Amino acid sequence: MGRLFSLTYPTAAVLLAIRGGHRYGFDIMDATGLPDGTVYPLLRRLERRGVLSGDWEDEATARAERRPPRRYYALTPVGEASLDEVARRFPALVPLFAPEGGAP
Amino acid sequence: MRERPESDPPGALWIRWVSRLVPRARRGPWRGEWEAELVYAWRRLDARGPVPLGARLRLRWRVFTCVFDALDERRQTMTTMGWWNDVRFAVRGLVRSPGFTVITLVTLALGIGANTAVFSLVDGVLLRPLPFEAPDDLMEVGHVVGEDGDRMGTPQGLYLTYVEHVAALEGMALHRPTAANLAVGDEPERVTGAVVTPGFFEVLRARPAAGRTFADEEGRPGGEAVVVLSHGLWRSAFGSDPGIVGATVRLDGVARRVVGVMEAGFAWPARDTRFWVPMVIDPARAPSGDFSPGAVARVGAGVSVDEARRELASVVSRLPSLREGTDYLLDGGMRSRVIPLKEAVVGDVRRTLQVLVGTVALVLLIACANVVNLLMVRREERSRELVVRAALGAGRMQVGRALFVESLLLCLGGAALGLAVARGAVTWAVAMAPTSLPRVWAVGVDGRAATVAVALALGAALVFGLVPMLRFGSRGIAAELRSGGARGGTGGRDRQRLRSGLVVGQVALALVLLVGAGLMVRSALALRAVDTGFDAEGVVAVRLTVPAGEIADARATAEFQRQLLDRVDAVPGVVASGFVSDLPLTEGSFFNVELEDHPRGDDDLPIMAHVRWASAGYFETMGIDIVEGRGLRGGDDAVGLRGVVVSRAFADRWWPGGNALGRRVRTGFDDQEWWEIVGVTDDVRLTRLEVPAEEAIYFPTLSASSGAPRVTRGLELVARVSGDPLSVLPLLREETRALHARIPLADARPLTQVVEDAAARTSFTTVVLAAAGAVALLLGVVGIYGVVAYLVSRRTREIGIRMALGARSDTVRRMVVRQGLALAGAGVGIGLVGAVALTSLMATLLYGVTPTDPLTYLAVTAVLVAAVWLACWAPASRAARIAPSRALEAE
Repeated sequence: MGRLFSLTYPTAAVLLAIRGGHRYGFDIMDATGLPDGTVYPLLRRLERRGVLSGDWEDEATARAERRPPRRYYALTPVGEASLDEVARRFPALVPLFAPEGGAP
Repeated sequence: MRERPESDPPGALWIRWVSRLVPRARRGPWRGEWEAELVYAWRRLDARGPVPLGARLRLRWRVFTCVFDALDERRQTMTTMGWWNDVRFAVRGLVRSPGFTVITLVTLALGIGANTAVFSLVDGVLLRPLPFEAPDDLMEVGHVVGEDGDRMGTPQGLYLTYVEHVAALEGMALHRPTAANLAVGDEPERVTGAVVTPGFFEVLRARPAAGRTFADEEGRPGGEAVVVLSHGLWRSAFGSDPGIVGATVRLDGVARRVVGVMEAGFAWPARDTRFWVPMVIDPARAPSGDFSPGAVARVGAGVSVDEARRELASVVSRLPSLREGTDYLLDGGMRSRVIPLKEAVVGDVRRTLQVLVGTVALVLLIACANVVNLLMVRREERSRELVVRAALGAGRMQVGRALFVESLLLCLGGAALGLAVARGAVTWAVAMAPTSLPRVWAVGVDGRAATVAVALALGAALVFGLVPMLRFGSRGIAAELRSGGARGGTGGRDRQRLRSGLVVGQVALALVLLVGAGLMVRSALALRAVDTGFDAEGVVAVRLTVPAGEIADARATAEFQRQLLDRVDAVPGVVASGFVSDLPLTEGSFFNVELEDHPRGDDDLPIMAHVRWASAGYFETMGIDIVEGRGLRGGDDAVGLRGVVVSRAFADRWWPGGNALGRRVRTGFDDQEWWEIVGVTDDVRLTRLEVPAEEAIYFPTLSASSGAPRVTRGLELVARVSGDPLSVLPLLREETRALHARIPLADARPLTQVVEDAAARTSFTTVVLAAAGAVALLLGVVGIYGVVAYLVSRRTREIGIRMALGARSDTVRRMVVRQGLALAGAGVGIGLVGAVALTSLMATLLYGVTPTDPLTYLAVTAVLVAAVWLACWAPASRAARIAPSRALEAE
């Protein structure tokens, strides 16, 4: 089965971070420790390829905190499926991003 | 100092600013996401009290990196969705307007093709290095006498002196063309080769594919008779026989041992050199006055050609002290002449090629002007689509890219077709190029030429794509929308002016090319009209050489030649026949001669004349008129009688008043006895069509003086035939074989071919220029037609109203034609000035016509104006037929 994206180390880290509950751009940067300038382009590419889906957080929540709504990312079924390969190729990486308190 | 998080966290301004890089369609969400992250992050920091500098800087850096994201966004939308869509869209659009597409492609193919073809020629002839190792160290060594003296080679005596005394030279070699009858099987074959000093191959650093080259002792008297074969001859004559090295072959009846076979592709000094034999030099007797051998030399490591030239000149100035019997050379004003070998090879074709390059560059300019015009019309047709695109959020870059993609497709298509055009053109040009065009046989359209074609295409695409793009940008989308596709008007005033300017430029360039072509045509006509002094029609010429190895005795050889003439005369269809050493319009011998009543002092320059050896019947066969006395006869070579014939120019030069008969002459180098002038012939163009009235002496082929008789062994047999001259060739072969089985006829051609070849360089330039002129005229006419037709279509409404108001149709027609002619008039004015300036460059290529020949200028202008008039006529007639009602429909 051909993949629509190349499974590089940064890609794997981003996917694991999202599964681990880090869903916002800056959070993903913090969680993965990848250079700041590389994370967003990566997110956009994965979104275009249908690996991730982006969505705006609930407007009401944001308004309550008197800040603009943030955009969060989630794994699509394609993204979920690719995690198997992540686990196979980067076994040492998986425990580092273990989900915080169960499923996201 | 605390920032106010509510309004502007640090970096918000940066995000806003960078967001402009993001394509408009995605700009809002992009900015929202970054701002939200920034605000959130800042809040978290701020909530914990004073923010430490480090954390603040980290956040600032993080925000700064949004620019990478923005650029990435930009690139992604431009590439993934953009390019491919644009390509598909452009292809569909081009297929939908086949007329535009085909005209544009053909125009570009002509422009790019012509340039690629000429690049191939120039590259092959001028730019490419010689096919030798370190070719820049090679030079030709020759000599000249006087200021504009003839270029001469290097005598063996001087060669020995130079080899000994010029330290700057790593090596030097002499070479002289030769030809020999090669006996393979029953059929003897005439092959050309070269006589070279043994070091020849080392100087060129050419290595054999098999065996070896010459050893030094093979160039000394008593050395073994050996030969080196070219790869081609080894293949064709010996079937690539692997055992050829060491075998013996017979060349001109002499047995020679094959010592080596050269690599494939090595052919020097001439393209048709197929074997090499050693030049045998006897140091004790090497002549210092025979300048016929050519010399090639290689400068030593770290020595420049200039230094070698200076050292050689200094050796020449000391010649009398270095070599006996050379005083007279310096007294006569002899100098050495050293030029880089490549320059010697390329020679004087540089100017021809420069004119070609200029010509095709102009054609490309004209083609580009046409394409720009076509594209501008097309862009107007597409303006609605582009406006819609812009309204849907396409930025200036995207609209520009759509235009660029279309022109890129056209240009690459044009380049592909152009390469095909170039291949055809080069094949044709190589076939018909004059033999004086050196290295032309190696020319072909290769990767370098393809690179040039693609580069031209890309350059053109950039120009075509960018020009309208910049205009689109500067006018803005709103203006474009308002103009509503320029309904009713004639398009933007600027654009109209640009278009008219392009047409004026095209006409001007076309005029320059046509004048150039016209001048070349007039030169060619003048050359064709030249009275050559002989009648080439119905004469066949064939080379016949009697090697001393076959018939040793001079008298027997002459007898063989005489008998052959008798047999040839008896062949049905042959009217007359004769022998001559060199045909007219080819190079031949140019010697110093002595006249009995014009003795030369030691300080006088020798009397020079073209010398030919001819048989009885030669003048009759060639149709050369005898103006005084008689032609050569059978007994003119007898001891005591010794008659020769001179040309009228020679007679007039030395005996003005016409009393040359009975005077006595002899050649300056090997005659002891005098020859008596028995006849004067009409002048014949002996060397080139352009050179009239050359001074010549015709000697009999056999010189039976009181000493040993001498005979001219290599002769051209000429026969005048009623009917097709080539038809008698098989009979001539048969007669020759009947007399002697191992003497072949070679190089048979009708004499008209010889005349054609002499005119070839002019013909070649003429045909190329004429083709370029025709293309330029065609493109110019198409350009004017396009512009005028476009104007008419744009003015349909206005013209309709005029007609409704009572304008007569011929008034309308005249109005339109006048508009076209006004453009042409401006172009002609500029073009005439340009033509006067540019054609002076081709003065050396012209014959019998000056670069400012008024007749040519007038004729070309008339042709151009007539063509423009025709181009305007069709749209003008269409305008004149516009019905007022239709004009309103056009609304």
